[in-house]
Amino acid sequence: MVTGAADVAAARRAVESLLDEIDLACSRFRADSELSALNRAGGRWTAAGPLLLEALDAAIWTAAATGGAVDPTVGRALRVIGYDRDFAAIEPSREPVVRLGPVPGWQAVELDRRAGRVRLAPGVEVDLGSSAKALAADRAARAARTASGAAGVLVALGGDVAVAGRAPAGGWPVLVAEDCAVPVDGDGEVVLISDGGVATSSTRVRRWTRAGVELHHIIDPATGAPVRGPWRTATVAAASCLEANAAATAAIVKGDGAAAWLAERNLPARLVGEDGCVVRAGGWPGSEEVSR
Amino acid sequence: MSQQARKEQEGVVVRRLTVGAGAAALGLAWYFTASATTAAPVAFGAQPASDDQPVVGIEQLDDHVFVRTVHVPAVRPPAGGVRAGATASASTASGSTAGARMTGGAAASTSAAPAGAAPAAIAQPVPAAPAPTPKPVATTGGSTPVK
Repeated sequence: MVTGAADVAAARRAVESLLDEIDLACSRFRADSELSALNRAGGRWTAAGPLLLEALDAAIWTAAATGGAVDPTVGRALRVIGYDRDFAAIEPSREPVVRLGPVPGWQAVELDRRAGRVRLAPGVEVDLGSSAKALAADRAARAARTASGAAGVLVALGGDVAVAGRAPAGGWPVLVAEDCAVPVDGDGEVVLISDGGVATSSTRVRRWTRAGVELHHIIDPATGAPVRGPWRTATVAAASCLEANAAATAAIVKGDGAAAWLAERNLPARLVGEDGCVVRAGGWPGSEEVSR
Repeated sequence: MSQQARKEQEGVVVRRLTVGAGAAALGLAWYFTASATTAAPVAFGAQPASDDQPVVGIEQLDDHVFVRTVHVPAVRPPAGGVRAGATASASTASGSTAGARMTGGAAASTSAAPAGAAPAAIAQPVPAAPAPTPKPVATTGGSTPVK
């Protein structure tokens, strides 16, 4: 979405090109990606391009800034519970659910930026799903604005929304939903943002069953298993989409402490409880209200 | 990279502790037990700012463990905050975002005066019309991979 006179085709090309590059560098489901090579390396140093290094940096920052609530070393935990291929290809399974215990932690990722290489501790597998898409949205918004000459740009990648440049008067209107597949003219709360990004994490999407157990994709690093907590969906606005997504996923993992953690950081947030109760915090419109 | 150079680069090595007792003294024995075999240095490379958050990291070098504090920038709120739009529904989501010509996935409609509306013959005080409800241009929600 662009504002003002702009070369929309150029904006689209810029976004698509960036997404192709991110996919090739960071996808866990492509055998030819740099990340897959790293996960297969068995503790050896592996060459990494600038984009993978940036994505790993972002993932490590996310882990550190959230107190370890959102950690990139959940790759193996996700794989063993069945999220081992593109989500669209996952079928219900009768295989037993295997749980590994706490994930190794971001300290198991060693970056050598100068030499352009990465090493994981043996047995560690990285998943960048909790940060790479948001990072891509931030980068895509900037790239689209540069390529198109637009005054302002909004990029939405599967629920991760990033804006760049000047917002329209009043701000960019964004529909808040539990599933990004809800159309923009669907029912729901609308908020206006003028900078940064807004992102939502939810246990309501990307669910699958294994041995009759319903699973989802948000792993609690402390247990190595899908989060079980009071919140099913968290939406956060922040200075970038990466930061918004980090905080939203952290809120799901932090559970009872999430609202206070968000409020301490003045992060506007909307939390939906397992019972449908909505809590707003950190300056989100209607903060202090609780509604059902 | 030498041990000393690494210290200088990362800047903020705060403690040097022998295995076990020192870590336990900081209440980190549990942490060390869990991650000693995998702990590895991670450099963030940024100087701590006033709002940075200290994060404890552990580095194992030979027979020693370094417990260090690294500073990472905190998650920042948006400069412009978040403002309320109206609750959207299929029947109320019309409107425009003033001053914007939007092009892209979802078209934003522009509100217009109802056909046949009579102009006011005489200027009279009227209640202020509510601001037009902007139509959402994007949805944030739990992510479902594109199929």
